[in-house]
Amino acid sequence: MNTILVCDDDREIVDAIEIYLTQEGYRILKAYDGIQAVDMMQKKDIQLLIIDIMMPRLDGLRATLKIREKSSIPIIILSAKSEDADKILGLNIGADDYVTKPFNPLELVARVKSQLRRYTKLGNVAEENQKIYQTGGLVMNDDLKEVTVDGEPVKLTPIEYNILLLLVKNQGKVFSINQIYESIWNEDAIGADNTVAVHIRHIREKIEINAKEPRYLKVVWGIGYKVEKL
Amino acid sequence: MRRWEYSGGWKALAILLNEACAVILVLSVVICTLYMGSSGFGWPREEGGFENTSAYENEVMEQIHRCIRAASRESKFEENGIYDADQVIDVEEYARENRAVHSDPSGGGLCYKLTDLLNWSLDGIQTISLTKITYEDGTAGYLYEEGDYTVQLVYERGAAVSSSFVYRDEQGVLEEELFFDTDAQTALGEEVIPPISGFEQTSLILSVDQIAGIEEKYTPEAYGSIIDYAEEHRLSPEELEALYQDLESALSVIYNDFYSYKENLELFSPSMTNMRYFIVPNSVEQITEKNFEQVAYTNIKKLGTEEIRDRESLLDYIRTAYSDYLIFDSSNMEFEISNMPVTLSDVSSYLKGYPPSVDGDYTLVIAVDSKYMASDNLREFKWQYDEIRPVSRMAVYGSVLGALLYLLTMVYLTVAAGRGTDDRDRSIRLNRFDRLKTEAALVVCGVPSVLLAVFGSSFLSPFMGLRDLIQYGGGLTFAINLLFLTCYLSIVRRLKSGILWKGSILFMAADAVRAMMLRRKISTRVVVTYLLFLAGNFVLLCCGAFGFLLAVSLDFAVGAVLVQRAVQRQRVLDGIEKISQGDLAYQIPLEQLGGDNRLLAEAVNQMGGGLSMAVEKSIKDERLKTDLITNVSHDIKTPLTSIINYVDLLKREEIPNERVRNYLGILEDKAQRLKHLTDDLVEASKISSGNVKLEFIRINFQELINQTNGEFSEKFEEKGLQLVLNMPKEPVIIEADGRRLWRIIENLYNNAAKYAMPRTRIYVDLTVVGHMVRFHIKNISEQPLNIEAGELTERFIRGDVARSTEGSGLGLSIAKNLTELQKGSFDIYLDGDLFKVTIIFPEAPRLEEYEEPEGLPGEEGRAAGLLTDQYLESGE
Repeated sequence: MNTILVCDDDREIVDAIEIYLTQEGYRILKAYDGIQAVDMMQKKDIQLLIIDIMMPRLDGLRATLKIREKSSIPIIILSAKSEDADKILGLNIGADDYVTKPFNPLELVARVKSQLRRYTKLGNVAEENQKIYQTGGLVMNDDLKEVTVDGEPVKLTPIEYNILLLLVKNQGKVFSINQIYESIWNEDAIGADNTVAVHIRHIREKIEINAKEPRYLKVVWGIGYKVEKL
Repeated sequence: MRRWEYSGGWKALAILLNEACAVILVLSVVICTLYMGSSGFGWPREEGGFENTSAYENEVMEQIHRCIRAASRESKFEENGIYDADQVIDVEEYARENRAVHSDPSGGGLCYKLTDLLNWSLDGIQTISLTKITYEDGTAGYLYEEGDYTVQLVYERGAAVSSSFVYRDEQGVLEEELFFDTDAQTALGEEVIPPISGFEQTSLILSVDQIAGIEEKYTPEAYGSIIDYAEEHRLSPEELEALYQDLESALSVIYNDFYSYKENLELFSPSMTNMRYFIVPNSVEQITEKNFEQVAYTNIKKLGTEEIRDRESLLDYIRTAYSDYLIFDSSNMEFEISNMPVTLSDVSSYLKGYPPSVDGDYTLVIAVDSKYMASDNLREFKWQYDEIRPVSRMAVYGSVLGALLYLLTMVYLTVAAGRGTDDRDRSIRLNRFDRLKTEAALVVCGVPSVLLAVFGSSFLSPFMGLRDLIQYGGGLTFAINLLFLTCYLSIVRRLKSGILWKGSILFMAADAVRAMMLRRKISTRVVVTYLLFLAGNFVLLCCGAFGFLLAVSLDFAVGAVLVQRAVQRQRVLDGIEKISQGDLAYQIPLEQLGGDNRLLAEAVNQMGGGLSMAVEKSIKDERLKTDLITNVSHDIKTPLTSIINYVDLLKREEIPNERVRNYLGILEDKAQRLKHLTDDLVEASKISSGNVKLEFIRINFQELINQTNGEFSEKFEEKGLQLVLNMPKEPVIIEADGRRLWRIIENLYNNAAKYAMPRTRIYVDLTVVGHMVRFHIKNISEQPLNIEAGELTERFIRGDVARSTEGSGLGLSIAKNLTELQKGSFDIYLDGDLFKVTIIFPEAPRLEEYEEPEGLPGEEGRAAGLLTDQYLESGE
């Protein structure tokens, strides 16, 4: 049983998160400021930390920095600060994920699960002699035509699978709709068509926790799509 | 750091020193010039005393000359050392040889008593015309007029025969007989003319001569008249006339001579001069102290010694009694001098001019009484010499040293003027005097110092005692220098602080005139100036060629000024254009502008500055507002999180009541809307304040539309909306920030998805017209659009004012602002239920070949690194 430390100066939020995560079978520890969180991290065996940024005494970012000095457990920042700059800062400081308030409880639970799976299981996933493509928690086994996200299998249609495979194989490279169309359907793209865009959206909905804020399959607006190299 | 060298004490010391130096300098210079210059003592010599100075030499030289004159005059008028009014003077000798021969009246020459001559000289000389008729038998007749009478004199062989006076008026006929006309002269030698009445003469006339004579007022010694003398000595008419001339010249000089003699007696009395002289005839054998005055022409009253017997012992006495003397013996031209600045030739030339009236040879002695008992020039010089001599050397050094120190203190005071001891405070300190107007200060100090100098110096004289000189000259110098120093240092301070000109009355006047001109209307000024210019031109043209030249140069000068003004005006105009084009911070440089242009430029600069400040302030206000909104939104989000979470938890409870479940649904909806609202609010305020950073890249508009279509396909399908797409085949490239452009299009699509009438078509057109890319989206509104198109983009205003749907009402506003931020235009067009938005972007310049993107550089990563660093730096 995994133990999760939830740290927020708003007790009701901590309580709500406790309810959701307890239902999922996690043990919950509660802290209400950064110093408490750092203390508990030293004293208790904790597998995941959910931490707010704006807190009295020691804020979430400094606490994260302190904890990162000794521990590599997944840290999810939960903050009302929703600017891009805030998110980038948080992730850069050592957090593994960034969820903005107000959050969807289900999404939070999904992200917690995802982080824990990667943290506890993924170490020895790679098998030999198989065509395996991976980025972050997204793994494609081309031999088995199998796709898993954080160990959870995902069901894709063949076209979706091919599109994703193309992008995962060429991680970081941006493909335009026409390029994707031509390489998947093996025929010239004729003008306007939103087929590829719709497929992409479907793939996102399947592999991403929040399709609007994708981690893997990203839209480069006005240019094309790419899978982030993680 | 304190600048001790600028302290008040030092300055006071310097002023005192300066004053002292000024006094020393001036006194020294005065002493030097008086001593060496006007008094002629020359450079102070070590050896010799007063008698070695040039002043002494010049004076003695002059005095020797005068002594010789005095001695010679004395010899003329004195007999045995005594003046005798009855003494007889031979006129011929006196006139010809400038000496009076004290001859015996019977001695032969024409002689008069001295008193007669002097009186005659004073009475004046009346010339008369004499006629002499010489007869063959030796008889001579003289005729001349005297008053109303005609005098007739007849001599026979030197003796007077008859003399008669004929009253002319009674004997009117006689007149013709008396004067010999030309007819009488032609009858010369042929017939006897009885020329003189009452005197029958039968002999022939040998000659008739006209002689210029003198009316005789005094009778000569031993003769009845001059004519008697002439007849007795058988003088020819020419000789008689020469005798008359001698008499006339003797009469003309004797009076002056006599008075010079009398004057000399006064001037050369021993109490008046320190010169001693005497002339002794060599013929005198015995000279004793007692008879000295009788035998010598001298101003020595008493020799004061008993040992003199003859000439040699007298000279010996002179040699011992006087250190400065000259002895001249005319018999053998023997010349002996002791410490006298004269030569033999000087003395002999003097003696030639004023020969002593001595028979035979004589000895001249001139000596200086070095006791200087008499108050003459020599005594003055001596006294002055004794006064100044001791300090003259000091004065030479004093003038050099004083000048040096004076200059030094002056330089120090000039540098230190107005400076304070505080090193940091570089300002110039001004005292009350410095605040006076410059001219007033000059009048108060400068003018008196100049006046004092001019008038004071005229009172300085060489005959001033040293003490007086020091007191008077020193005091004067002190006062002048004090005034001058006050004035000078004030001017220095004024110069340093730049108020010399600005603090002057002249400046005030000039300023007043300028202000008066500036206060006039510009048109008045131009008219006045132009009229003056015309008048000047006219006047100059009337003044000939030179005036014409002046007029031409004046015109050129005016032309140059006009061009300069025009250049300045252009500068101002350029500045105004720059500001009007948005460079509000631009300031027109004022350095080279003058007059109206400067005023104009200053006004423009002020306006520009004001505008720029207003704009800056509004930007700052907008930022503050954005910050406020951002912070408030954070504060709203925290309770909102709890609301959403607990509503969700409630929904999970098995609630049998249908209505309660409904209520929960509403709560959930509203909570979500609140969330969107806060997000949009923050975004809208950021965008409208320009508080976003855009990253422009080349974007394929069609790709973006296709991507958007993919995102919205299901949303549209839910409402039965059909998308009609119309795009050109070839790629349409614009330069924009991809995510922000997506946000615009997303908002427009969302707008359509929310407000379009279900089961209608949505038209999306992309066209390129010219180099402009136009994007249209059209849909039919479900609700009537009873609103102005412009208001739709105003924040918080939505088409459905009365009804509430999801959405914040900020979508269109955000889209419009983002479009404009990316240099595009955003227009909403409403026509009945038709809702149409047009976005226009400039097309990106075509590259050689459009290349598919090769993956984008990790912008986010770089930005993140930067942010982390900033955050950590701002932390502990």
